[in-house]
Amino acid sequence: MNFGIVISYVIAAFLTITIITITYTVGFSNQEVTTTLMKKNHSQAIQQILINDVPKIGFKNMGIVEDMFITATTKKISFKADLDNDGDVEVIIWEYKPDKAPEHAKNPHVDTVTRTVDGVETDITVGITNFVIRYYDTYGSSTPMSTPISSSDYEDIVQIEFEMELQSDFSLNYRASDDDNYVTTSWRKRFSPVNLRPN
Amino acid sequence: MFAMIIVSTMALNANRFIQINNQTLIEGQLESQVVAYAQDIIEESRALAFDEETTYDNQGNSIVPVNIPTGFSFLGPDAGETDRTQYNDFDDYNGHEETVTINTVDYFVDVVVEYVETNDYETYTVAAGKSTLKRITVNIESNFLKKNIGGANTAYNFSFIRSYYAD
Repeated sequence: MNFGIVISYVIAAFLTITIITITYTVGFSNQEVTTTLMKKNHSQAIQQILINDVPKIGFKNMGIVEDMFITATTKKISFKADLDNDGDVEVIIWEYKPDKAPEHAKNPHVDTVTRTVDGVETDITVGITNFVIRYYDTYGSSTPMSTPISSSDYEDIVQIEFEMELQSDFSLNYRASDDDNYVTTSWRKRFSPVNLRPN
Repeated sequence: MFAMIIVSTMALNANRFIQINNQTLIEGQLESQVVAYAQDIIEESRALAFDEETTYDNQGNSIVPVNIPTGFSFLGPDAGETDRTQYNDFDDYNGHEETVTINTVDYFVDVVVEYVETNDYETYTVAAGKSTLKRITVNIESNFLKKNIGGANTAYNFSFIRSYYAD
């Protein structure tokens, strides 16, 4: 066989493999970007609800709600506030349920967070894999209060920190033999609600 | 030979594209945390008294200086206030610096508080003396957030102006 033709075939095969690899890698990267953006959107949706609820702890028209906390643990917080400023004080509960996986979840790490307002419960099932609530009795402190917080210590709380982690519902593996790799996004924020100010 | 040059160029472009994708992903993730942390500090500072001279007495009443604004204190932490947990007024954060680690990423934080002019509603220039407006600016940087690869860190600045009368 003509040596030149053989070389041509080798080069053609090499170029074909290169193009296929590039196409696959770019496609995988795009998938990563899309999945990350999706998770970030989910995370922002939860952030917005938290930012709506938490700073209003203890709020009511023309005053402050007495005994604003009902429960304060690392997985559950329940408090009173007039969320919609309609004159009625609601009871709001945020609870992380690590043992309750959403029905559709393919990712085994995904759990459920529920938000309840006056008994109306909403499941948040957008890939939450961790959700921690911390309480601080001093502004800027790096040491959270020990939980669960007893009712006699509720009035010491001045800051509340939320930390959550979300993962994609499906794994993204470059190779079929790779371990399950889920796109992860996390967020941490400490709130200093007005009605928890000591003065 | 020509085909190899074309494919090589494609491969290089694809690599660049993927690198930009990854950089954008990381920036997006970290920037939301930068915003959250800056808000934490601003909210925290707002929870404190406007000035050392307007802190609260034992009955929880705010003290009012005789002369406003000349009776206000100088900016920065006061005697005995060596860390953030001891700050008791808004401007104690002036000069505050810390490195905070969130999800294994280090963020370098420094805070500036200034008196600003009360009659300059467009630019809020820094006041020569004291005034009834104070501006807090939280500056945050991270080694993972750079203007260009290998370039300087991007500086994120967040400001809030607080008025003594609108407290």
